[in-house]
Amino acid sequence: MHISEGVLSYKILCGGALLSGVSTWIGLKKLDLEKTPRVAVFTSGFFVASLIHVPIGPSSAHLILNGLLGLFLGWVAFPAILVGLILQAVMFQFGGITTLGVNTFNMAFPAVICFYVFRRWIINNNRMTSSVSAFLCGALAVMLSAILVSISLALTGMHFLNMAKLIILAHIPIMVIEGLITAITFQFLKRVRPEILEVLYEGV
Amino acid sequence: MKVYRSIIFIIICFILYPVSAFAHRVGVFAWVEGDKVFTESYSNRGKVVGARILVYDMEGKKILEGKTDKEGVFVFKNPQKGNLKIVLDASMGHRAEYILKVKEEKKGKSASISSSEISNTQDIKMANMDKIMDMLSNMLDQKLSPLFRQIAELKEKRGVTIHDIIGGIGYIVGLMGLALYLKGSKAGRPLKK
Repeated sequence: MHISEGVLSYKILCGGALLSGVSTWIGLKKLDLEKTPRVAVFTSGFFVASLIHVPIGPSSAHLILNGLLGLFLGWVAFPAILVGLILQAVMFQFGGITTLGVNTFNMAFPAVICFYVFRRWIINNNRMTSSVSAFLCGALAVMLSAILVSISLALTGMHFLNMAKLIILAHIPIMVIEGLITAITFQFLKRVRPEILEVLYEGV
Repeated sequence: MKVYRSIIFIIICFILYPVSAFAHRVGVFAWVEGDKVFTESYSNRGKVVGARILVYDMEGKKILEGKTDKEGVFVFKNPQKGNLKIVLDASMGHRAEYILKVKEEKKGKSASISSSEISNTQDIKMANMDKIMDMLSNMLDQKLSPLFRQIAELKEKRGVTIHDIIGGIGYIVGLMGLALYLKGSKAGRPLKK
């Protein structure tokens, strides 16, 4: 998921940076005093999740957890993922500094989309409905990220369908695992700290 | 509740376990051995198999390309075009490059010797010297190449350490503190009751 330096053209890098910049600003506007520690915890989770790694055939993929961040943070997922990616780029050399904008958008935008699509079902009182929609939120965020990565690469002249197939196939196990993690985490937090879910009720 | 606790425990174990095995960083390094250039590609998972290697000169003109074998190695004949830029393209947006500094061959000198007639002992001595120097440099290349390789590996292969992880989390906590401080002082009162 992390696109390295020197792969994309300047236009796409600038476009990604612009989109991420605006979205991060929206996220920061929605960030308030009480949410801040929670956001930091999820950012730490995102930062470390990339080290968990699932071997698939000759290649491998790692956890992203963007769906989880989207579910619990909404728009604030943008600043959280941006911070996580900066630290990953500096400390682990994942991705790169110039590609931060594009990478942030590719991972955080699906998170926000999944948040808005699934939240009405996630807050459903039926445990089955909420679990399944939390699972889908986690899984689809990864899938959309894979598609966005393919689009970014395709805009630089690589073949879109081949690229998308390869990336989505490589991430199918990740989708399942992240869906499960998202659903389990959601049910767990709903029990022990229901106040953490307030973001899901905002403006419904 | 017990079920949840054990699930969380499993997740935590899962998170803590594979610290040494992570992916999504590729690298390439190269060294010269005789008239050949060896390149080796790796990711954090090990060797990069079947990835494209592109070789450029310093003006950015492509000289040649090839694929890494199952050891992640790709060997090509040194094109003698000065320094080389070696690019690894490992698909899915993963890419790395390495600048290989190649010594310029002293072509002018050896050419003049071979073309001119060797008439006196001085020149013969010179020619012999050159041969010996060439042999020496070849031998040194061979003997030193494992060392070059190890140095390159050490330089490139630094994995993620527990310090990186703790440091990163520390940064996040610091940012949280900063955000709380800024938001708190914006509210117009110090952070006390």
